[in-house]
Amino acid sequence: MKSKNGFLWIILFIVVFLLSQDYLWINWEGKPTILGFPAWIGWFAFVHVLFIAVFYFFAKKYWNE
Amino acid sequence: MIYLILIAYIAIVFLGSLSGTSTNAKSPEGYFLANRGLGTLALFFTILATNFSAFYFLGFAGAGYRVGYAHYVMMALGTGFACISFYILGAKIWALGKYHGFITPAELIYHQTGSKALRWIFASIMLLFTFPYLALQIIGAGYILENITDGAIPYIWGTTLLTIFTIAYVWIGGMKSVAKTDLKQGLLMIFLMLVAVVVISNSVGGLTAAHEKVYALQPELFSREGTGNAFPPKKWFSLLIFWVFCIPMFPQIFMRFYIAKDINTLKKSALLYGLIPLVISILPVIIGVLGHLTFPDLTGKATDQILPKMLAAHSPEWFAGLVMTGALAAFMSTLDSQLLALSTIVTRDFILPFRENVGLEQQVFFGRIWVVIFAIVGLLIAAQPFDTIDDMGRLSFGGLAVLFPITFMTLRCGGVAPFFGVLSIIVGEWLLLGFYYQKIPSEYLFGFDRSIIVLAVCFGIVFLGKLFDQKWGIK
Repeated sequence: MKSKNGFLWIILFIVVFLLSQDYLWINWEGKPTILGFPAWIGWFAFVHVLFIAVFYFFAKKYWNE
Repeated sequence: MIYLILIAYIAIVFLGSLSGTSTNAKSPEGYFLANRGLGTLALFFTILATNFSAFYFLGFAGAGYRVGYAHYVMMALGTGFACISFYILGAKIWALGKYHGFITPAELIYHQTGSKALRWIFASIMLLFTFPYLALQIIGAGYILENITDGAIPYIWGTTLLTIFTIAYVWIGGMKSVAKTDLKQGLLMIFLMLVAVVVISNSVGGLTAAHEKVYALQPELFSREGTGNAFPPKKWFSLLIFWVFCIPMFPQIFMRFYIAKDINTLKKSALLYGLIPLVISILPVIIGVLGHLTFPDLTGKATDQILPKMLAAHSPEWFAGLVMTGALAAFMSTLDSQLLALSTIVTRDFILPFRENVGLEQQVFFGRIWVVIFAIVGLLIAAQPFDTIDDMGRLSFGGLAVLFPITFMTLRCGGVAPFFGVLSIIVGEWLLLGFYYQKIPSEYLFGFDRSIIVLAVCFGIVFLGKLFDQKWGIK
């Protein structure tokens, strides 16, 4: 992995991780929404899928090195 | 009816796992690593089934009952993040294992560092801290059998029965039979849990209505921090990164990095492993949360039985039996992998170095004997469970995660003087047990989870070792 590209990927993973630290910018309400689940579960599902997408492209590019 | 389902299941799994395994079980590579030839689906399901165990079925449902939906997100996202370590460590472990023919984790560490002391302490920690997790599977089996047979099979008989069955198919088939069993059990587990959630939520008036009723009773179960502020920010941060360090250090997972057919197989399995917890982790948690409608007053260890209790209360007897059979499948697929991993470690790391003339078939024989011995030790621990499933699991996970810093340093940072590796492990385990048994005041955790503080200290020691090595050549 070239160091400049590697650094960018590390930043990208850190950003995704920071998105999971939602208490830094939001105070969720627990009220039931779709199917009775609290809304914040939807946020974490989004972060999870985003992480997998980033990991997919990362793995595609670097895994065989 | 329940007995019929159980017997049919045991017969199908047993016979299915044995077909075609005899030729693989004669050499250590065949018996312990399925000749390093598993494809993507088999590898993914064996990792998944190995990892999702009694801790998943009973532990997640129990934690869902106690803490609420915050537990789901912590586990799903945390274990999802862990696929990064498949790249950081897994790819390198696979390549070195294939090239040098390693079978155990400590063989790799020894080859890279040349230190026998580090090899033995590494292998010993893997053995020691896998026991609480191994016992969990047996405890779970005991709970389930006692529940679904309405006490006709008492806890201790249930644990013994399932342990004997697991010993039998691991004895005969080794890793190949474990992997074949894991594939079927993994599929069965996901399907049955999905149906269980549908059946139970329909029985309590539909998912939306049931959630609203629970919310009216216990709104904290829906809060982002969990009941009783279970996940304040520093703990949340700790637990989300913890699994990255912990999961690859389970001996049964570490050894699965060796058995991939090729590097692409490992890559695809990593992606699937990252994605699947998003879907399956929520299933037992939903049942745990809805459990408040039927069993509002459970506390302590009793909460770990919310899943069988809900099934018994809200589904026909045959269906409860079927789902609990799926749960038993999950316990056995973890137990078999753990038994195999531990017996491999003892045979290769503690017997072979002292008896170099042991032949290949003898190694397999020793491995089988140790499968039996470790199963009995697990059974003895299960006879007197010392905590909730969640807490026993976490002690085990924390103890194994201590091995990550030296493994990372060895594989990704050019190595470090073995003294610092040994020191990081000893200090790490001492701190972990000190915090667990409250011999060290929890103020020293500064609000973080104990495992992360312990890991920070261990990383500090190995990085310091690297610094000494580079600056002053101290080895």
